[in-house]
Amino acid sequence: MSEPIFSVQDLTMRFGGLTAVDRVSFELYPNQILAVIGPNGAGKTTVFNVVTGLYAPSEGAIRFKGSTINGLAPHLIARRGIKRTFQQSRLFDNLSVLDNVLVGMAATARHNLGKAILRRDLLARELSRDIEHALELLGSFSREMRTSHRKRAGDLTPGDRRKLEICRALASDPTVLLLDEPAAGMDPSETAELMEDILKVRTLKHGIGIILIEHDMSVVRQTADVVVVLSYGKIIATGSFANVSSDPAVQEAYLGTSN
Amino acid sequence: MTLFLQLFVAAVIVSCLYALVAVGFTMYVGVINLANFSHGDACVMGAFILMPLFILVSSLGWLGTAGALVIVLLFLVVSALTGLWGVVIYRILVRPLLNSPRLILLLATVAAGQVIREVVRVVYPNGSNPQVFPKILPQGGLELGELSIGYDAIAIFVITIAVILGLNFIIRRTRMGMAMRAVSQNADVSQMMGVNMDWTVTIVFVIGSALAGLAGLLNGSYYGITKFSIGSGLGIKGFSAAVIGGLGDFYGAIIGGFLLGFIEVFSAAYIPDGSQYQDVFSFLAVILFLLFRPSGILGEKIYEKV
Amino acid sequence: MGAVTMHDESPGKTAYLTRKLAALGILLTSSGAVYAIAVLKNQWIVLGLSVLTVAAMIMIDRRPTLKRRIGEPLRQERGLLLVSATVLALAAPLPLRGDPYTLHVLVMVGISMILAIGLNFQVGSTGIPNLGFAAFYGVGAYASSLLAIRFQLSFWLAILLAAAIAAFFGFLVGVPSLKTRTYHLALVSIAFGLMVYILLNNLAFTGGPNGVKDIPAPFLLGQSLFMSIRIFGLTYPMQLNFYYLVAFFLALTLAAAHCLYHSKVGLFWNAVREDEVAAKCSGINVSAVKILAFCVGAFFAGIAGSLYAHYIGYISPENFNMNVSLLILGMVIMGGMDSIQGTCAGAFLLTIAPEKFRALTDLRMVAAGLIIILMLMFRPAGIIPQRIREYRGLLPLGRDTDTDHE
Repeated sequence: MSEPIFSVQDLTMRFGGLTAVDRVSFELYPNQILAVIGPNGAGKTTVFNVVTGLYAPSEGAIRFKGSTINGLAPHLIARRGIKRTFQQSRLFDNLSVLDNVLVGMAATARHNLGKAILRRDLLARELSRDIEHALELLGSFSREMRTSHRKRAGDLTPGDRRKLEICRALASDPTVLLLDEPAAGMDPSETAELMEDILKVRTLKHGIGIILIEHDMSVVRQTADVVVVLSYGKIIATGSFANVSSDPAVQEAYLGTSN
Repeated sequence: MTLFLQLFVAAVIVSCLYALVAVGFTMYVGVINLANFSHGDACVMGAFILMPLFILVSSLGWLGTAGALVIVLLFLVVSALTGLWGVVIYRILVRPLLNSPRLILLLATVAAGQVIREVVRVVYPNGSNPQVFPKILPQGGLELGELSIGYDAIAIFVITIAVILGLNFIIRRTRMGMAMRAVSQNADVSQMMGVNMDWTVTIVFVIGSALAGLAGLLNGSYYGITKFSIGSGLGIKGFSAAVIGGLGDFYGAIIGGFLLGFIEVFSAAYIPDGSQYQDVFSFLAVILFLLFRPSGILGEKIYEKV
Repeated sequence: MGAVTMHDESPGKTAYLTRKLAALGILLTSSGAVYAIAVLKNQWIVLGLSVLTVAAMIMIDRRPTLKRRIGEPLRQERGLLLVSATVLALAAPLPLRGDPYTLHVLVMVGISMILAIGLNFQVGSTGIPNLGFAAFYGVGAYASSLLAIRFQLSFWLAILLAAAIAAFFGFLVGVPSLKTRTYHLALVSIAFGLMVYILLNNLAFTGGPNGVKDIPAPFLLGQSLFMSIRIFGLTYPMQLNFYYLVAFFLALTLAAAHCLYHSKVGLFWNAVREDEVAAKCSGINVSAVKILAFCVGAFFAGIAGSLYAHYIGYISPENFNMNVSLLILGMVIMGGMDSIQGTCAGAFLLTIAPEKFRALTDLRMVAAGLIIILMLMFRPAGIIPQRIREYRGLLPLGRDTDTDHE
């Protein structure tokens, strides 16, 4: 078994008197899909926010590719290879579909501002390559978005918005992808498509690790290799979906006994 | 020592004025997350509504016997009228833009403030020049040794305390106040719980504008003059005070107002050539706060909502 | 394709020519309207023309087919249009030999455009509500004047240094502005604007309320630009010199704006404007990008300030007060946020209007404020809104090339 590419150890996040995340630990391996489930307010999104650098953890360690990334600024963490989507899609609404993906490439090494201003010919060639890469990525999730790449992102359907957000995250070839409730508000056919997309990510980007926050248990059951259950900021169970869903503590806190 | 006490009194008065403006401003931020840059210019309305009313009232000879009562009435009327103006601003300008990006709303209020300022300047006779403001506050004062405290200063202080206590009561003890607090915590949920957003916001505008009008009025009474442009100055100070105290926090605005007032008065007095630069000190204070403690003194640490 | 034609000229060649003619035609019509507005003296005709032009632009923007019909030739004949526009711009003032006033107005339009483009980097592209932009303008003007007077620097050196100093002030404002909230930014910018105004008014070395006078003229090839000039044997007033001087710097500004918009910088600015958190998590150093916007915007304000100072020859703090900041802001909002053409249109209209409608002088600020409010309520995108970015020539050829989405 290879080394974990990503891990959190005793991660704790306190906001004033409230402990939103309480000594959470888990590991993520290459090609693995880890699902984080739990009731609303359990701290799942907070874990994402801490791990992507939006908050500095009160305690604990976050390790990525062998080094500790606690307290790094969000853009640096993104550049190292951790990208995410948001519970409510945060797209650049007034920019085109293509532009959204191009921005996603900001996290790759060669995009620095100095070059942007000074070397324009080099830029044109690189830009063509980037555009091609972006269109290909879009195409693997939706032929329609690839052809309508000039469409304003704000005008997309909710399903397309999620796909675009995923494309934007994948544009920089991240090592870890964090998906925050991607199935929220989707009907069954859209959910099925989403599951295809999640598994497609794995085939497109070899070795990528995915952490998935979800409420939709069918998605979790069919995609997750490991499930972590959070309640009131603490982990109450870890394991395969089968094990976790039959755990009485989990059933009481979240799933309900009929499952 | 007397100099110090004298300055102390002056600082308190200036602080009261700033606090009144700051509270109004911070209410807009707290309840609907709006930075209303026309707030300062509502002070101008207060001052410029009072002047013709005062002339009217004195020409009708009402100031003689029941003088004090009439003055109080004038205060109420002007505050009410300015409050009404708040409703106008809300209905015509703010409400249609509530769903636009916040930047648009902010710019719209800035433009609105300018329109108010310029309309007053153009419409009021001789509007471009400073106007003599009637002395409607009690004249004369206390002499405590070498220290003199004007009755007008005491009046301002008392009025401010009364207003603050009144507002505190409204916010903490009435249903309307609770509605305001609920909306400032979570607008969507409040609506689902039956709070009438429209009315709550309207009340906020009424109170906010009335406060501004009162501040403009008191400012004019105390200094004896007023000008169409006082709104910008008072407005900026009010915002600064609100920021220092913590945007959205009622008590923060008051603390901010006093902090700002004291910094201004004392730096003007004790730093050589200070009076010319007193505004610079206030703004420096604001900028320092924004640098090191953007949530202000009482505000909660700002966590980005993701 | 059809029957063999008798002519050698394929339909392609006539289409090619029609396109060029169409492009030129559009350029000439719009330039003609603009020129007429600038030059004519009758207030009513000017008002009518302005309203017509603005209405036409808005109407065209709203009809996709019409917009495409007009947009196509313009987009495809970029080179031709650039050359023609340059020729027109160079020739435009020549008939105005006897009208130094209109020349003066044109100079001021040019300076306003540079200012507005500078602010546009901040407000339009990056979404930073800067309500104190005139401070950078003032810093540039004062820096340039004082450098020229106290250190006898030539205008050309002074303007560069002044712009650099202004950019540094941009940095100083940028740093406290990095904390997110929109109204914090607005407040810091107002505070900064007022602080600069107060300091200019009170410091001894800036001359206090009396300002700085006798600012030396720029020299070019040994000639002072304050002297009237002879072209083709005809004598022109000195305003012509400044027309070309400002046009030169405006051209540089436009080129810079164009480059920045189409580069990663422009894209990142827009991303920060749209959603800062998403931008951060996508790998953009939001702080650096914002500070860059502050510096670049301030730099061009400094250029404009220096031009103004060395043209008018006299500056005072009143030239750089809050009203000026709001006026420049109005230009960007009215013209079109993030749109270079729009910003220029806004600058043109809001500079011409107070000059042409002298009767309105008192109501000028009221009118400006009302226009801004109306625009924000009904057409926040401005007269010439910014379009979706195009990547012509960079898209992979083949079956999946983009289809028009106007």
